Amino acid sequence: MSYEFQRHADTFLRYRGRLEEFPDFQFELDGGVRGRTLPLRWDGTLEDLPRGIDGAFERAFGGAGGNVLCAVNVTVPPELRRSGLSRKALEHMRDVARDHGLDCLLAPVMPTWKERYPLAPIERYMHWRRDDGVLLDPWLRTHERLGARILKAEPHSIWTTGTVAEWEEWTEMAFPDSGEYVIPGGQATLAIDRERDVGRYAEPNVWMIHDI
Amino acid sequence: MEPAWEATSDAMPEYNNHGDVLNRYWGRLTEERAEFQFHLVDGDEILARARCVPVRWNGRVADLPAGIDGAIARGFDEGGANVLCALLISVPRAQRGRARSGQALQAMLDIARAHDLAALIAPVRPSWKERYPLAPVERYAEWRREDGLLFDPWMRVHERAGGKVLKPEPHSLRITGTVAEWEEWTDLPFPESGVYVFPGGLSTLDVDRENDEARYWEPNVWMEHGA
Repeated sequence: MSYEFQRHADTFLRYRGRLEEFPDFQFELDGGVRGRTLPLRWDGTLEDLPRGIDGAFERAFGGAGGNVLCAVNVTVPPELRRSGLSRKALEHMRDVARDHGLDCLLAPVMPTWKERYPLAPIERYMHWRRDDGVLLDPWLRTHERLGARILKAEPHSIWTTGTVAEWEEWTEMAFPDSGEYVIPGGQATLAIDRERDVGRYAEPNVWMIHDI
Repeated sequence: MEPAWEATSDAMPEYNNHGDVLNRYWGRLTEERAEFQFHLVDGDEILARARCVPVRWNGRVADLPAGIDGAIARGFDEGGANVLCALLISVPRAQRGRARSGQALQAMLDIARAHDLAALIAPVRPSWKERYPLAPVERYAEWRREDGLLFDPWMRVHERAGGKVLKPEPHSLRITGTVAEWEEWTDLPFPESGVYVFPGGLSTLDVDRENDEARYWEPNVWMEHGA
């Protein structure tokens, strides 16, 4: 969470503070690497996947119990990036799921390089591979190396809505006309509607599944 | 020439050095129009590198060259030059924020006057357009801040120096390459055909993998200074 606009997500914000209601599913590893997860109910079909992270929060806090573990995020201190700790956090999430008798680990993965390709449909982007055959996106690649499979693209995983003035403040840009804009750190474009004084942005994710 | 190019080589993104039309003529500027090329210097230090070329222009918007590509071609292929056309003002990173580009612009105006040219016209490369690659340049060129000044910093420098906007030119500088060339210039893979934004791009890049070609049109804004 390194861009200001990411601190203003509609649903994400409402629930983030409530993660401690599931204390068994939050953890911190050596070095300050933190992992956040939630148990939720899922029948194993693509149709029943939550509508992105927003939907996962709503379902988990809706109180229907859980049979799978859903990854919410992994935070690695900046000085420890590139040290393989995010991979360790994912492995730990699988352990947590196993220890609680859950069926699998579901991950709405936020692709790290999607911000370089804000115009590419996530449905296409998630399949891009390098010449050596591995996935182009580093974070999707890490998941795949650990044995995860891609289930489905979710173009509207985290919605963030604000007034035009709010978006101008969050991004330190000006949006003089209605239309689509590329924003720093944006994984997709921001739609500005000056007539209604609203800017809408949906962060895409890729649903991946780790068997345990 | 070499030190000046080196001093300003960090000022422009790599892709900008590969203009289809521009590169055909660029080398002739210093050979055949040497009196219009200059550097601002302070001792040995390069403060700015500037390129311009006299062209024929009848003063009407409709007669403006087709962007910077059309301007440099007209400068060499047609006679009867009566105005000066700016092509480049490049300021080394270390010299940014010191009004060097404004000083170079004044020097161009001096050169136009010294050669009895009637005006300086400039296909301006808007410096903040790269933050708005999806905005049509026709709209972008009109954006103003709340204090009434033009939104774009480089266009603002021109306006402060007395320049006025003539017309936006969405197809000013054409840069075409193979997909591999564009991947090298931008350090970005383009795995499939489609429209991409890329670092430093003033508009989008159209990648066509079937024909192994990627096409980019750099937008400019024509501005005019009475000399």
